[in-house]
Amino acid sequence: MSDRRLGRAARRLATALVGLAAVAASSASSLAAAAPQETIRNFYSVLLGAMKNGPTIGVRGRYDQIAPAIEQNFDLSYMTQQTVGFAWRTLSDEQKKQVWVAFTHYLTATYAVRFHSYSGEKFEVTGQQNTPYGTIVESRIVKSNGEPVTINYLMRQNSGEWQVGDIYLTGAISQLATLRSQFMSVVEREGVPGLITLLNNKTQAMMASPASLVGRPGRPPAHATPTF
Amino acid sequence: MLALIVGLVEFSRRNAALVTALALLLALFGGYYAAKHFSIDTDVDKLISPDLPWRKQQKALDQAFPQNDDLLLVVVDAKTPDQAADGTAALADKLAAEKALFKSVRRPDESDFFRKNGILFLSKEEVQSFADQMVAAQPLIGTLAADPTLRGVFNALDLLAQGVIQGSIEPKKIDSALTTVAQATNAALAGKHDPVSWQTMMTGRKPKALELRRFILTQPVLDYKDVQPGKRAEDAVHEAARQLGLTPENGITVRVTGSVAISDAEFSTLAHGAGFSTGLSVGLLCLWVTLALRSLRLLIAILTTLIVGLVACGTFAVAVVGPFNPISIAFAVLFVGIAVDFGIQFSVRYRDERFRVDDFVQALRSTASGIGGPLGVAALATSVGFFSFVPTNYTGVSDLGKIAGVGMLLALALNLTLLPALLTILRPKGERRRVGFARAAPLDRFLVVHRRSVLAFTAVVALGCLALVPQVNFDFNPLHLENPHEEAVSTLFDLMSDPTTTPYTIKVLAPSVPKAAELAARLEKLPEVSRAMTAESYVPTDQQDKIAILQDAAQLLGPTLTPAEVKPPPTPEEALAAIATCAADMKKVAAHGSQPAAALAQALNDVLARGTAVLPALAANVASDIENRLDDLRLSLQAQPVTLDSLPAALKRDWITPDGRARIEVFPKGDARNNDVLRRFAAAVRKIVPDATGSPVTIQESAYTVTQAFTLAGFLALAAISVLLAVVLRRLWEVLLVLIPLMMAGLLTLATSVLGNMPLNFANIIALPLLLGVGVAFDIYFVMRWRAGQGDLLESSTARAILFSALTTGTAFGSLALSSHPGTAEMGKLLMLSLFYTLVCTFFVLPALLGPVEQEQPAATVNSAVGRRS
Repeated sequence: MSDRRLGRAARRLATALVGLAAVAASSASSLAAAAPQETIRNFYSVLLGAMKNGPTIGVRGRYDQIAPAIEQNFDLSYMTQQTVGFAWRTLSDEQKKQVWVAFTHYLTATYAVRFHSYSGEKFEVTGQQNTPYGTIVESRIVKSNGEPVTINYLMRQNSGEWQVGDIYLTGAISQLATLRSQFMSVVEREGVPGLITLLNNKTQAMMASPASLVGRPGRPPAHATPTF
Repeated sequence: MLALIVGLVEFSRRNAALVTALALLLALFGGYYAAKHFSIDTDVDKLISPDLPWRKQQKALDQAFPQNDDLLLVVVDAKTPDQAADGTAALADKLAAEKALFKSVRRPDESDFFRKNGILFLSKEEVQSFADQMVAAQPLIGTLAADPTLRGVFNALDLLAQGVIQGSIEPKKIDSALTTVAQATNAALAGKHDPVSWQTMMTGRKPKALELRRFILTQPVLDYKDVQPGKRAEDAVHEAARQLGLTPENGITVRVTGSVAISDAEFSTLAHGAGFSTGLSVGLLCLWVTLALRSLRLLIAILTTLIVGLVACGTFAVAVVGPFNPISIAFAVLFVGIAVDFGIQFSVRYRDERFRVDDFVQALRSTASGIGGPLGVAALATSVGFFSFVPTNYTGVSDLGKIAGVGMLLALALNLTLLPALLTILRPKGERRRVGFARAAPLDRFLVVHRRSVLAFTAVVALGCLALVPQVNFDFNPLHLENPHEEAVSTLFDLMSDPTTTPYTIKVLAPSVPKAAELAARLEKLPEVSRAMTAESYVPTDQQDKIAILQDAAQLLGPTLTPAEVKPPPTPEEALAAIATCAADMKKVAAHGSQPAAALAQALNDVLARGTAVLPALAANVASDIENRLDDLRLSLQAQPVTLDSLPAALKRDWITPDGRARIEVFPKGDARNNDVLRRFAAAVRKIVPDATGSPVTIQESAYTVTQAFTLAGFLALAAISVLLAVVLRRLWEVLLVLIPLMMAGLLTLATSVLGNMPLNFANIIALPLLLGVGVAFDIYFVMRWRAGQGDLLESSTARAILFSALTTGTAFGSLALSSHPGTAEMGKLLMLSLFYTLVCTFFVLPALLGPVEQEQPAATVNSAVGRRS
């Protein structure tokens, strides 16, 4: 009788080992293939967490929760450079850092304000495409009324890590392009210092706006999708 | 010689039937031969001697760049840059397929090179502005790239609407886009084709004039045996345009111009009125002859002689001179106008003699001995006048001289043989009335009695005219002689009004590329020059910076401009759904006070009411050719650095020959249609580069050549005629008597040219030497009559003959004045004018000069054999 039990245990162990190996193998390969999508999924999970706690922790709380995810998952230096445009070459390192900081605050604040509460939204990563310009991750946010909005991300590889380079609303509208054209006239008139001031002012305005105040439970969200 | 003439007439009378039959037979064979071997060489290049230095320079340039020889330029104008670009591309492809009609077809501004790198030719600021505009339009571009259909368009517009509603886009920024689409939508609802220009919508700026006009350069296959060598090719262009829908109804015009088209237009205009004017002049001719002769039989005789003479002249031309050219073919007009004079002189004199002695045979003899001499001299003088055209550099006219010169001699011979023969056969009735202008008798007396005052008056007028002669203006611009209503000509004028497209540029062939650059720099400093282009003009400046700007934009736009997936075409329901959404959002925008949005909302609601039936028309107006524009955009963002070596081969070949010589193209400042501008421009450039060529130079040089040719011809004619007259008349004073009225007529003509603002030009300058040849005959008739002791010039039959001769010649020339071809009309007018003055001087100045008839005559004059008073 102890032989049979031993045999069964050995078989179970073997199966488990094979299974483990299989899982390890598959996860290793899908880990490599799915890395860009993983970045988005990670970001979405943080975003969802902030949304669910949204009304309670307020805009400041959401900001603090989202900020690390933004720094980790977004290629902020690339995004800053693209937003500034051609004038970037003329900036000193110090100025570049300043713009980078202001932009990061602005981006985080924007997310914190827009994604302020949860009412059944679903975040789905649907796939990815390799293009000559980089890998594009396709995702969808399904609003509380069932309406899906396509959001694609241009992914860039930064020392092994996959980070977001650009965000495409409805799959076609580049957020960086929108931001750049928005800030174009300021950069032309007042240079980069003017841009920094503008970004900071906008950030402050967003953080202090009534829509970000704590409380007001039960009010349906005015916008569930990010529109810059 | 007189004896010979009298003998000829006598012989012809006696053997009238034989002579007539022979003449008609010869005419028949000659006519057949001429018709069979008739050919015309319409290559206008051959009209001026190729040995002249400026012709050689022109030839050198043509040989260096044979692809620019005999061009047919196709000009495509459209309302939007999109239509211009796409239409021209389609047309060029279609034409290139017709190898039998076109040797080569190329588009100077539409190669891939320009589509990709054309943007580098803008200034740095413009490139930056372009890039910024593209970035700002990214939402539109991205949406359209993923869905370049009706649905995509209205989704994109809906996006804009939402942007306005949410406050992230200023309403004013999208006003023009909304207005444009509303307009196109309403046009579609009305069934009209009025497409939106996506290029304008995407770049946000009004298209430059040059973007609305595109060119195709073709070299047609030319058939020089044809009067209009390029006509088949031109018709093919218009037909192809029609088949492709490039028509004014669709907002596109296709026109053809260039040297080939202009020559063809010229012939078309010439041929246009030719039928009517020929008919009119033939009719008038018959009228004058009838009035002069008052007899149908005489009319028939003269016309027959004329026709036989014309055929004989033509046969000679075909057999001996060879192919006609555009100028020598005018021999027919000259022949008819002048040869009929001989017939009239003979016949009128016959009538006069017949009145005096009512016997046909006797009258004919007297005619021969009376008019034979003057007729012979006059014919010789006119012939000599024409032969003086021969030794000039204007080969076109020298051929005419040969033909007309011989023609005059043929006419003389026929009028002394065939005409008497025909008269004999036709047996005209007797003359009841005196032939001449009896009523002119008082005038005759007045002119003789008051010689001094008439001559003094004439001298004063002559001095006045002389004073005006230096002001005579020669308009060397051959375009002013063209019919401005012909498409080829009006298009050329259109192009000339824009300094960047004017074809009146000077071309210089420099020995090397660096030399060309150096020369171009020097030429550009001249105040008369607007710019000097070389191959290096196609290498843009500041390329590094511009490319950096474009690459930056490319990075941002790339992924959405070339999406991985493009949506499949929408079903009509999907399209309508997109339109409905857009309409609803536009209404919201309109509620904020935007007029364009309201207009668009209204238009879209009309579309929804109409349903799917209007969707194809709407797509044609609103969603056509988006893919082409996106391609243009993709290419622009890929601009590569350009060097002289990386230029496309065809472009380089246009500017640099295989053996390294480089072309410089120099553009004038100011309006090239103005002669003074051209003159100063050419003079300034040639000071630096003496062997420059190109239209501004060649037309002026042609002018010098032609005027020199005619001046030479004029002097030769004068000299030759003087010698002839000296031999015949043997008295210097009488030679002068013949020539002075002609000089006077010439002066009057020139003075009128100045006072009446009728500048001389290539066409009418022929009037001056012609005047010599024609007018000399009139004067000879009068002078020889006077020498023979017969005064009362104005009341004589000779005067009658001269008057009607002048009328017939005037009619022949006048038919030219009716032509719709400005050059020919000018020629006709000046010829008529000079003829009128010749007549005036012959009738009024010459009798005064001659004075009373000499009572005593020296024995050894030619006309002493006549001796009788008639």
